[in-house]
Amino acid sequence: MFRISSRIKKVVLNSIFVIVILSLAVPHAHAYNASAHCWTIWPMSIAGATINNGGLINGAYNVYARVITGRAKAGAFATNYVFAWVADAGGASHTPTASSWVSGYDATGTHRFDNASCP
Amino acid sequence: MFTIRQKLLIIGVIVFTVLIVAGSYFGRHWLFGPDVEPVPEHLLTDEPRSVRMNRLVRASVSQDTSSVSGTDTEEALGDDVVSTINTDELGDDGLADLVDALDAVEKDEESSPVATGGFPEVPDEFPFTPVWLEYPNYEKGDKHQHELIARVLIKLWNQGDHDFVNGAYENGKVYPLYNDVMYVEWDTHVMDGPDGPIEFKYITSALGTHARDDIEENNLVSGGLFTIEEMITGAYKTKYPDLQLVDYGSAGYDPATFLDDY
Repeated sequence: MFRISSRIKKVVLNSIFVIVILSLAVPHAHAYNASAHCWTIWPMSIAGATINNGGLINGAYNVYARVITGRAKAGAFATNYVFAWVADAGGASHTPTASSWVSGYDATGTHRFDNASCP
Repeated sequence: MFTIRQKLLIIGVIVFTVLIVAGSYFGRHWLFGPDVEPVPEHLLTDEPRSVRMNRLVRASVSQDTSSVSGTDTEEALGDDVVSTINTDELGDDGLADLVDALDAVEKDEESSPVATGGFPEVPDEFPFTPVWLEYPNYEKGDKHQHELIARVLIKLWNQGDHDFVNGAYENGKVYPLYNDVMYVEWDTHVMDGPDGPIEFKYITSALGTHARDDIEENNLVSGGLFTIEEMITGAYKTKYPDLQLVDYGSAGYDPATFLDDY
């Protein structure tokens, strides 16, 4: 039967080892996200909207949360280290709503976008 | 020949690698949605901005669309121009007026101190590339807020502040972002309790950087920085002793007063 030399075995195993290490070392390319959370935890209702722009540059965002008064903020960012958050709280009889979006450009120059809303 | 143990290892590693590659490919679409458009066309061409705006508006009419609301168009029109325009209501005369108005906006931008003042020199070791250097065909005013972020941060850098990692623009102010600072707003909420009203103070908004090692989910209240209970009870104040909670309203830099040539 065809036999593989120990040297080839070593090369194959080392190659696989390098591939695994590299795949684990590659950073998470899409760490940006927008999220919205609506809770009714008696006796309160809470709405919260969040964005983080991990991996995106030169973009913009908008976060909005409403239980009673409604709160919103929007902005622009230069580099990939921003998170923004708003929240509103009220009584359990109120319905919380929230929404958010974030957009910007990734390292390849491609425009990216993410949004979320609740309920 | 490989031993059985080595074969199993190789098969496992291959399956693992395939799962990672496939998971990252399909997972990002599932988590973050489809890719959107590439870098705006006007940032990659030499076409003058006023010509570009007119072309985009006219193209929208020739295609018999009911509104001008594409991302490219919004980008071209800028933040100060209404992003959705009902061309059905405009008519030819109205469209001409619109184009004139857009040209006027362009002229205003060109004659503004920001446009005529030129861009500042970028210091050595400045932590990021300003937007006017990021894109090869950038024109002044294309991303006005991003220009202001970079201009304010460059001035801060020249004044000796080298600790910020980013800047954000909100409500007419530029906020330099530091790993150990969060700009926050508070409010109070009053609930009816068995012994009378109960008042608690909670954070209603926050702006900061997610570069901290202890922020895994980059989310204040869903398993990340703070829990709901910590927010409500005020325990957030002592949870991160090295995190400075700075009043959002009194912080930030107004470019109109901070920049000498605004």
